[in-house]
Amino acid sequence: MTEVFQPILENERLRLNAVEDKDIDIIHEWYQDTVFLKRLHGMPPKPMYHKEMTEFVNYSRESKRDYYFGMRPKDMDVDLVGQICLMRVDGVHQTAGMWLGIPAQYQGRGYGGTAISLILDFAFNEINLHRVWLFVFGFNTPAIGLYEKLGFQHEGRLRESAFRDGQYWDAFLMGILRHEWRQSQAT
Amino acid sequence: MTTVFQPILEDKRIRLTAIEDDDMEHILDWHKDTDFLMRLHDSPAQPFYMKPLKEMIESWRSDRNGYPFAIRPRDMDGEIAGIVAVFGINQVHATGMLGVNLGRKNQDKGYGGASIRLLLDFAFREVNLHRVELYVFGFNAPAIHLYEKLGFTHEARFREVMYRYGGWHDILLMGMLRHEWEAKR
Repeated sequence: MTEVFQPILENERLRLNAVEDKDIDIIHEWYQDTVFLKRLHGMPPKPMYHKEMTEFVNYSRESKRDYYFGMRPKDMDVDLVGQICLMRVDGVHQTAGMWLGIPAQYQGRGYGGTAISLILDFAFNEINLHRVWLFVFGFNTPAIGLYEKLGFQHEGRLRESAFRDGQYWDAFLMGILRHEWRQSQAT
Repeated sequence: MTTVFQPILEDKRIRLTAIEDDDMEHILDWHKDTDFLMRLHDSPAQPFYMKPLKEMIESWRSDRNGYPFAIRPRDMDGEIAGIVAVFGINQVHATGMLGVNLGRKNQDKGYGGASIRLLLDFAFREVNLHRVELYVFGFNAPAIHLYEKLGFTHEARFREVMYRYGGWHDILLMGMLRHEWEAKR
């Protein structure tokens, strides 16, 4: 039964741990980049004030329905390369949503896929979830490709549900069930 | 230009009006019916008490991102038959969600379809929405059939997202765009 004593939320490349007050300045800097914001969420992509950023981080840390982590690389001399969160955890139906954000300078290095794998292990093996879902904008093709590769299934298309860059875009719903994740890990 | 002066939120059979304090006893009756609750909410079906019910209805009435209405069929002498609402309105994306419920004794009389038609007119032609979506539990076949008939498109399926009646159930998301409703009405 040594498996019980394996560390979770980390592997050779990355650790997921608490977001601290000292990280807020760094995250605030990321949230000045409108391209980052356009892919991240459905709010108007305006740079965020420091006070809004602090409130957002505090909310994510304190919410009883969220598990919010900073991504700490082990293979690079940088404190923080992104954020990832399980949100709206529902204890009755054993479901949660997921979001993550990695600024442009740290994209394309595999941190996103690694972080998602770590948080799915946590979701399915530690907090006993049955399902994890996410929404992604139809224009965010690199993200969609990553979610597909990790085993998320396409569950639907919300037609013309997001107005951005002067036009309406579709959003996709994707989801993964515990048995699907375990099967993908076994192979 | 006479169309401007047509009344809205009513037709020959139904009026959509404010939800009044006097309606609460009727609304409480429905919310003591577990079958009603299990088609409506994903929380375990605990019959409602008056106080939390009043708080819930009050939160709907004071919600600036939603428009809830009492469904009053003309053949029920002013009694409330159900509630229909467009809520969760996002003005940037011009989207909103539709929700409808009818007390069990008021079902299967066409009130639901008539109310939704009036509400879609309101949402697309007055609130200026581009898209209206709704969530419906996969086991609620009569409701799904009604939404299909009204012209909603099946857009997404949240697989095994709800545990109920001892098993996993899907929730369906259906959507309608303004041009689809204008072509249909």
